[in-house]
Amino acid sequence: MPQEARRRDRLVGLFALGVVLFNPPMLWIFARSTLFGWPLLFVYLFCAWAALTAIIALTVERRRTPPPLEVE
Amino acid sequence: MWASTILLLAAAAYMVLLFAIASFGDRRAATGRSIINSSVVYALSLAVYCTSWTFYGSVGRAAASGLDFLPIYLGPTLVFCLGWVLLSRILRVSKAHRITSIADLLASRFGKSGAVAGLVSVIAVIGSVPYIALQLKAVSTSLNVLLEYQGSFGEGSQTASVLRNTELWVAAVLALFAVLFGTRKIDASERHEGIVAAIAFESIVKLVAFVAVGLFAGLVLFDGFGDIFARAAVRPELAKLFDFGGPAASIEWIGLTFLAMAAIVCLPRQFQVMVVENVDERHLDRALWLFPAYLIAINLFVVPIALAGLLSAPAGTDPDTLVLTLPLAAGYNGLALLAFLGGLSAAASMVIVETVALSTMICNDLVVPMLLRLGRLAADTRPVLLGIRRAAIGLVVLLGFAYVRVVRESYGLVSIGLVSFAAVAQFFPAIVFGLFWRRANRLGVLVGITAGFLVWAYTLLLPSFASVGWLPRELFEQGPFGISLLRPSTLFGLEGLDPVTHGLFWSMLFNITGIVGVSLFVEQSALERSQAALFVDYWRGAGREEGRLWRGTAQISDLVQLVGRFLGEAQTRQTFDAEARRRGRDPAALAADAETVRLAERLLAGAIGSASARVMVASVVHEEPIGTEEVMRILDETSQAIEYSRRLEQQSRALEATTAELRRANERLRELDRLKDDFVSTVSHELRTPLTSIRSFSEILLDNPTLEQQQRQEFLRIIVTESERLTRLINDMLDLAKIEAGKLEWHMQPVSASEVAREAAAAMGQLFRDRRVKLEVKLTDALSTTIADRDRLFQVIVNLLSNAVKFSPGDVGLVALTVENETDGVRLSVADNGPGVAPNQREAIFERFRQVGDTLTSKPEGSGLGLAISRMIIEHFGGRTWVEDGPGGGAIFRVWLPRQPAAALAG
Repeated sequence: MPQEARRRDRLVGLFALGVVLFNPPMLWIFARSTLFGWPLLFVYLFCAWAALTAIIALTVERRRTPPPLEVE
Repeated sequence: MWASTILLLAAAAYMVLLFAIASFGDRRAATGRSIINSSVVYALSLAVYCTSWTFYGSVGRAAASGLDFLPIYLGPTLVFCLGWVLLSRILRVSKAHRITSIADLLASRFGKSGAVAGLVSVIAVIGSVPYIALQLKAVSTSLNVLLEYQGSFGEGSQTASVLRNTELWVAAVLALFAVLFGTRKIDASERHEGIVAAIAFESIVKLVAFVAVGLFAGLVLFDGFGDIFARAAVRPELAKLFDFGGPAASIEWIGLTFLAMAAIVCLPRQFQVMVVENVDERHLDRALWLFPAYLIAINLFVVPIALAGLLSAPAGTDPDTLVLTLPLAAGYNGLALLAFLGGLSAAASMVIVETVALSTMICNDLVVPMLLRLGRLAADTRPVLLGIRRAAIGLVVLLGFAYVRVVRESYGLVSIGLVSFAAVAQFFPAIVFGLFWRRANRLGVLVGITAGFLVWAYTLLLPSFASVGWLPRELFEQGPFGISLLRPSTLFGLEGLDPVTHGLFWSMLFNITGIVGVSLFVEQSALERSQAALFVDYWRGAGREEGRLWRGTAQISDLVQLVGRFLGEAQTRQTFDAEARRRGRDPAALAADAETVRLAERLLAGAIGSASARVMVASVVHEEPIGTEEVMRILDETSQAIEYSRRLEQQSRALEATTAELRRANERLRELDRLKDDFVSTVSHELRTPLTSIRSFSEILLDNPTLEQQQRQEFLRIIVTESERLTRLINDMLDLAKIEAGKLEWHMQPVSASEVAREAAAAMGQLFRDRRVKLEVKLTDALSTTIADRDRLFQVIVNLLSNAVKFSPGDVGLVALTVENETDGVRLSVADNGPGVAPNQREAIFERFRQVGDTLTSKPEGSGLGLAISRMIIEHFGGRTWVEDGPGGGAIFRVWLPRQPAAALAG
């Protein structure tokens, strides 16, 4: 099932992305600053977290749609 | 402040509700209409991860050190990204082997080892007791806060308890719940639907309660969340919470993330809900994002609540109780009660699931093996096993209660939780290596887990004993025997890390080194080897050869009796009969072959774990040992067989393709053969016609010497014409044969198509005048140069012109010869106003001897080879020949020739 395998690999890619996004040194960038008075680190972490979860959802739930037609 | 009776009534009513939900769930399961058969319920049950530690402790940690409570929830999110690589593999393998607990999983993987099972169980119990204690403490603390809150902060948790033994009561009720709904069936691999239903419900309650408090803090206490952050920003000690400290803080963050990743897989309760209670593997898919979404929702308000507490509460308030004290201080007693129930939910669900999971381990992996060794297992073991499990639940809860009493206030909620996490994290390397690395072996896992556990105990557990005074403080300040290198908090001189990361680093280092090192240097036994293959290569269809890896003799009656002792005689008989029917045999004649023995062992494994099941089955079966060599041979054979069949499939596909190609080639050959036959007969026919007329006229001349001069002249002229026709035919055929054989000599050179066309038109002029057909010539001079053989091109044009004149009507006939320039070539057209060519004939006329019209009624002139030869010549020049409809009837024969490249033109 190449389609299955591709989506599995996509999730593994998300894992790698998450590891980078949720850990230092990425987090150092957002420390200490604010966005409209909100602490940027707080805003960043939750936004990144929500985005990652949303992409998992999109990847997982696009389940039984037929594969796109090959267009030359 | 709440009156204690009302509060107790509310708590009791809530517990009654939980009992009702659980028993409803169980009853529905019994009638086959499961209420937990849904991915949403599955995801909610996974949220048992969020305990009172999340509910109260996260706020406390956020108040103390900012965002570093988050890695505990980011880690699981990351693991869920690996859901289809790691989690679904655990799920599938566990279902196939009827795994009952994490200890069972590891034991089964590493050769059904009782030692591994026992070790893991002991560590799980030791690691979980503080965590259970934490829950009990949280409930009693929250109860006391509600009861004793006097309208100002800082007094609640310090006052002596009104209910002296809150923890004991809580513990007793939860233990009762776990016993009632967690030990109904003997088969531990079966689901406890009632419990799962209750857990899912509690997950909703704790989420709603926490979000309610968060919204209250932001919207009622303050003027929106922006207001909270704005006020916090001007207080330096609060603004500092959103700073990210130096390297030490970074390492701690990474360490916590890893710890949480390990915990979500290894915590006994997580394994219980994720694997054992899983109804359908497909539920995992949706849970992969629903569970992280739940974590986001429940963590969103932690920071606002913590900041709100810090901004409005006086110094000295226990930040772990802010969820309760914030609503109480504002007089929102109802909200405080809801928060209390949320915290109670969080604590209760954890204690219930954890104790059920631990009781399975204690019973299957510690007590049963001991009873087996002592030979003290009764004939009908079911009441015994259930009794053991119930006692184990009681024991675990009691241990938790004792721990609360002893350690009390010394550690914050979060620290206790982290120490527990670090203990169960010791299983993580074994699981990962076990599932992905075939050579990871039993001894390696035993050494690795033991080493990791000892380091954990030394660096993380002993300090908590020292804090209650069980051990001398000097041991920790100076190190044992004064050796400062061995100080538990800075082992081997490693300084600058927080205690948890420090302990995690050393324990993982020893753990992984142990597993990898020993596995690399020690050989696996035969059983280990086959189990490893079953776990690691599960994807590739391993498991089919399971039966081949066992050889021995057994009596079917022994097996049935043995399994019957655990699962009940009637049910066992039924299962075996079903198995016989599945294999298409008479139930009475089911043989005790390898497959049947496996079935018996699997059934037992569901009840008492794989290690004990193996021992039990071995007691009634005479097994012939299979050597490592042979196991390896069988496994290799199997993988080879799979490889061969894969290659065979490939080859057969290739073969089919070749066959189809050959068939097509054969059809083409037949067609060519038929064409050749047609050709020969046509040629003979074409040759015979002129020959016949030549012969007949010659005979007339020979037989009639007295023929008139005029008559004689006429006949001789016919003979000459027919001979010419014969010669032309033979010439054409020779040309065709030469071109086809590639033997024709070509004098390719730059040629002006217009010039050749003009010459051809001039040469044909007489013929046109004879036929009274008008010839129009429209030529372009510029750039009509192409690379061609001049004579052959001439031949083509003459051919097309004679063709055109042939089909043009006399007197009104009009033929137009045109040469035009196109962007990349030269187009030569010959148009006539004859009958035209029917669309279906347009390709056919270029075939040999194919002449349009009925050859019987009208005798066409020419050999029928002209167009075929023309097309071949033009193709040799790299051009194309085709025929179109003329605008006013008639046909246009077109020739397209590529233009000579500019460079060649210049040269």
